[in-house]
Amino acid sequence: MWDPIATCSEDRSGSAITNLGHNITEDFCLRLSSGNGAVSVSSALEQKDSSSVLVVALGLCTALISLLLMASLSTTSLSFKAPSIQSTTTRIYQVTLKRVLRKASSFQSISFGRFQSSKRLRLQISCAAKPETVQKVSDIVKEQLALSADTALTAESKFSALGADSLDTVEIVMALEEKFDISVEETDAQNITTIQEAADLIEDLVQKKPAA
Amino acid sequence: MMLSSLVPLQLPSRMQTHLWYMLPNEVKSDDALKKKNALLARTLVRTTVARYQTNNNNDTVVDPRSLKFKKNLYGKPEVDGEVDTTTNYPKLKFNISHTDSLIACGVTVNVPVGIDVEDKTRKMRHDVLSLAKRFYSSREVEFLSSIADMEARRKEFIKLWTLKEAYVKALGKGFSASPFNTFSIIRPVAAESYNLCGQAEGWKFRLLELAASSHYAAICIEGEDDEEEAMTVIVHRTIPFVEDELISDWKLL
Repeated sequence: MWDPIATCSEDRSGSAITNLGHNITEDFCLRLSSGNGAVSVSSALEQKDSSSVLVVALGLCTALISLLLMASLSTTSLSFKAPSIQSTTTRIYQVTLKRVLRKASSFQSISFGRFQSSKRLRLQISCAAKPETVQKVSDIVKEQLALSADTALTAESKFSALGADSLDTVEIVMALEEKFDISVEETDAQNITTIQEAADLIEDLVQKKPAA
Repeated sequence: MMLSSLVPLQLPSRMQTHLWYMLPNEVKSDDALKKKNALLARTLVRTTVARYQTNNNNDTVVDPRSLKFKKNLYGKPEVDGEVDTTTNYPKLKFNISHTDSLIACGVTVNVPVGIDVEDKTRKMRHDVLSLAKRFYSSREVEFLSSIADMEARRKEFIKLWTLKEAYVKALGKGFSASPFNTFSIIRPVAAESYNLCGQAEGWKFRLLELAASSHYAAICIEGEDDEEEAMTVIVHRTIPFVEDELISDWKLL
């Protein structure tokens, strides 16, 4: 159903969350978050006719190009996915960008493959972790750190700022593994510093699990 | 702040660690407990390092505020000795650790040091053996499994935690460089101290009970591969700018 139509690989350094809000014809959130070895760009959009598909596609290209021109984003992979949909008209959009970033950790090339436009096109680009996941993580953190129920926790709350030491963090990881039935790699566990990062990693791991 | 009240300190000798600890309850503060302890830990480091440097500086008082610190490649804080090359500052190494009720700083000359302190009564939310199976080495799991009494097992888990943490902090390369399940710290029967298995030779460990036996404190320093000399530890309780107390009733485990 979904074909990856653009992939790109590069070295990873650091993590960045870049918010590109773009209103083309509909509201969609284009959010890039890197870290944990992957970047996902998310949006969901329904279009009713093919001309607006073109607009959306160009908008996305523009967004992507402007993103790449911004400094300091390093990711390991960026993928766009689009469904292969039966259609009478076919348009091919190909954009190739080489070395758009001056920094060493830049994208080598990005190419958009074939789009098949149709009356209904859904471009699925995933956003950051669902609010329910963030909430579940917050609950586990509150319990582990014995925080009062009304402690204000945001997705950006850092474990260390909440008073977690390394043993707390380890117990939190274990609690998350149990709750979501996942297995967290050592290196991934070390890189979790905020609730958002934990939630993002969890969703990534849950998604990668083989279907039961 | 009265700089003149910062009494200079004799440097640690070779294979010697100086352990300084503070009880935050002895220091008044309006701030939330956890933030306060992080701040106090930095105060402890600065004042202590300044006092060692003062001694080396012909007793010209070194202002703790003037000290420069940097982080190594992996984020471990260290004294930035490159700043002033005219004076002959010793290569002081330090490491800090704190709980809600105790803040500690270990200092050595030249050798990398790592310390970890933990409340002796700390309870884990998970079963100790499950935690060990997930995070410790198989040898350590075996050791913990062999302890029948739950309370004794919990204590041994904590002791191992502090020792393993002290090693990783002494190494200074972050936890991913030495995941806990890739090495074992064991105490052979009738041995004087804990030993490291599964990694490079030479690392020395000391495990102490501190502050009315309320805390475990583990110290790890990097010795030479064939280093015969044992690590000695000198312990002080301190309130910066106020008082020092040489502690003799700490217990070596």
